[in-house]
Amino acid sequence: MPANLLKIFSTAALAACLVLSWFNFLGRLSADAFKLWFLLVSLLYFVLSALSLKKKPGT
Amino acid sequence: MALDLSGIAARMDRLYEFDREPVAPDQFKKGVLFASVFAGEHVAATEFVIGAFFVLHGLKATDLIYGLLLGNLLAVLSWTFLCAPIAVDTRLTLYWYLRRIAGPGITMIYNLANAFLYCILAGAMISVSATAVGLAFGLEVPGLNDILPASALWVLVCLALGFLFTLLAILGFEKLGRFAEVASPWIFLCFVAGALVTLPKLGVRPDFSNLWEVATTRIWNGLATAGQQQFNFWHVVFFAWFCNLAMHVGLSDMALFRYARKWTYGFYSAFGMYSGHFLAWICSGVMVAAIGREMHPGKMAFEALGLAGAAAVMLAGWTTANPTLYRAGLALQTVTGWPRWKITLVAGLVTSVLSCFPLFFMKLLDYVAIYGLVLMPIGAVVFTEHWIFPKLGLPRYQAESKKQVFNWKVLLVWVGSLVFAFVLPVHLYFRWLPGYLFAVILYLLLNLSGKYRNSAKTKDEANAS
Repeated sequence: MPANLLKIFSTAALAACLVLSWFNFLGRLSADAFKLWFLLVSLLYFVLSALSLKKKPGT
Repeated sequence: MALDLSGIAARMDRLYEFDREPVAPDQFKKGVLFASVFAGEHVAATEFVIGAFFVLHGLKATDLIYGLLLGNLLAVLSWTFLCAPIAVDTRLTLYWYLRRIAGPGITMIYNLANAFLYCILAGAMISVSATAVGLAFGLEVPGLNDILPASALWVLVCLALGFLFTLLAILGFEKLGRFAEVASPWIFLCFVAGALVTLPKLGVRPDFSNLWEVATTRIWNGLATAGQQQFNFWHVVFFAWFCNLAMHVGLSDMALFRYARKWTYGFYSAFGMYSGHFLAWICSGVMVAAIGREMHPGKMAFEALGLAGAAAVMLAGWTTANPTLYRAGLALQTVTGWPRWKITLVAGLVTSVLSCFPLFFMKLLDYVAIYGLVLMPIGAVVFTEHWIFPKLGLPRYQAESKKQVFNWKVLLVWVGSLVFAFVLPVHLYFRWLPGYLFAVILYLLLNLSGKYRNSAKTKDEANAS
């Protein structure tokens, strides 16, 4: 996958974390479910970001 | 054994050789890079502690918000009008510029002082991470006024983390530095998300209709925790201003701004100030209020975000401690001449031991003040020599022209202004500004007196001949 696409997906993962916390704030997502999903999406963010760094030209 | 100053100076020069020449125009960077560097650097583990301490010090919400707005503005202006113009004018790091002004001996002392202060800061960051790791073992966090470690488990966790961070710093700073690039936006997100999900626990309604009422009664309600000093608007203004004193007024960010196309790039520091030193501090204040105002960064993030929160505190501590250990290692390497791995190991061991003492973590606000204060006079000397000397017709770079190892006037100003600042009968936070002005005036007077002495001597010689 090209680095740019990975970058876009990793940014989307960050945005998803924020959306999850917004849902928890509104009471639409329980605290336990929020914590689990926040952790999983965060892991996804780190994987995508690390891959995008690896694919950067000249690195 | 006699101290071989010229040998140390030569080693120090070799270490910094790569940035000895002024930055060439083709190496100038775009403004967006400065924005991202500042935004990344100023969202760190310290933010978990500082914002929480503002709640414990009984600030009112209005004092906090207006104080942070003004204090951070003053910090941005200090970068823009003090640090960036000198950096753009010289295109040098503070190391090389100070060397011309003060001589290699003073530069070495400056490096050593910096290294020691860095080690303490890294130690505090390890302590912050220990609060997160300790959650798994039911570790009791030391009290607000504790100086010595309260339990063997605390010592064990701090030492283990310290060794781990040191090992990682030895294995490769650059790769880990790149990991920090990845981690910093996520850590910032954890501050925002953590505060957001904590608000309902404090009674904030989903439509935010009672947000201000909760903020003023349950978070920044103006009541200091027992044993904590009551803060007001001016404490916040000065704290936000001097939080990075060594970087802006102390000029160490010349290393960064020498790559700027123009001095106005100093305004990009606002990206770090208003994200890290405004939003993140407010967010950590919200989180600490929800755990009964207990100074426990690990717990407050864990309660808000679960395991991800604990990981955020741990990572924030590590990403702050890692470059700090690296810089301390570099500074010490110049004196010992040891290989970098060995000196980083020594710096790491010292830091790990320091991290066991809760004093540095629990008194972080005071430590930050002292850190800036100690290095501030050097910024005053460089500012005076760069801008005021030419206007008064005073010769610049005397250490370089006279081949001095120590410019004793700089040393006198450094020590004198520190003594002046420490005996001032005002709160620690307000001492640096009079100390800075004192340093500028003293350095001018010392050089002006030298100028008049020299001109009188020349006149006498002319009359005699």
